[in-house]
Amino acid sequence: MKKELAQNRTAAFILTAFLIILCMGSLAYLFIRRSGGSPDGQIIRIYRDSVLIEEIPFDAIKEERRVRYSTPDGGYNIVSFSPEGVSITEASCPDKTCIHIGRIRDSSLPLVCLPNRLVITISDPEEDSTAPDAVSY
Amino acid sequence: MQKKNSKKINTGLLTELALLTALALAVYGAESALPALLPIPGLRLGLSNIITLAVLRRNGARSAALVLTARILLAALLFGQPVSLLYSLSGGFLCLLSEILIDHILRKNYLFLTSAFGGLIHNLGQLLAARLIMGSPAVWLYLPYLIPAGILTGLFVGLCAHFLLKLLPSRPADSRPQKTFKS
Repeated sequence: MKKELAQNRTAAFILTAFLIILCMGSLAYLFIRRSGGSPDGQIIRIYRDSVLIEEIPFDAIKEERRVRYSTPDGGYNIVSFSPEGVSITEASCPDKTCIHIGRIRDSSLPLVCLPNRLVITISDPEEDSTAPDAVSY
Repeated sequence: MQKKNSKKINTGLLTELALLTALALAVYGAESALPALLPIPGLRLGLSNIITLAVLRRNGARSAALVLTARILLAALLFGQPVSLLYSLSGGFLCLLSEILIDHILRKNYLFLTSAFGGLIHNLGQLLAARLIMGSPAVWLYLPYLIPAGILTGLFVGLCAHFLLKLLPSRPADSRPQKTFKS
């Protein structure tokens, strides 16, 4: 009985350590990544349902313009492109998380709308790491 | 005979599980009315997991799976969009599986650890679903936010489940054969 309890405590200790390391790792990663580069020369890519629907060079945006992206099932997102960055200003979904993400300027975080399956990323022209791969088909 | 009986759900257990499912659904509805704390897609407190965890402890894995399935399907019907069903299913069931596993390893001690792992795996499951639905690896960039968030919300859920288990009547309606009366 006593041995069992000790084993139990060891297991709990290992699991706790695992969680703490995972937490620290993520926070450290977030801290390091903070320094985003300049968006000049980057490409804005817009995906829906894993298909690239539009590519816009960041430098081509001289003044703010708003574009409406609609889904086949009636949902929509209105995306604002401006020299300061890209943001979603209006969405048909109930949670509005994509609007609250705010404006993005670099590759550190994509704009994501889960209900409308829309992903907007900013990345290097050659590095299309965000392109859909074979797994998703 | 006894073995056959233990596989059946008796009326007491059925009623208790139905009541807890309704409770989970109410909590889920109340939570979806709250504004999100941080603008991270998929980030929620996951309060309805309190019920799942409590049922897992009280009535076992099979009952917890029943309550979880009923809750997810009803919640999608009442509050959600069709897409959110996929996120809930992958998150919910991976969460339950990990909780069953961790609860078994820890021999039903350290409830907070079980729920912390549940929260973590829940978020990983949802992100995996998002990865498959969106088809863009860019969603992995949310992983470093969702790992600590899942662990923290999991700890909170574990705390709540601990108190819920204390508040619920001490003798659970279980699947043990009860006295049967011949008519």
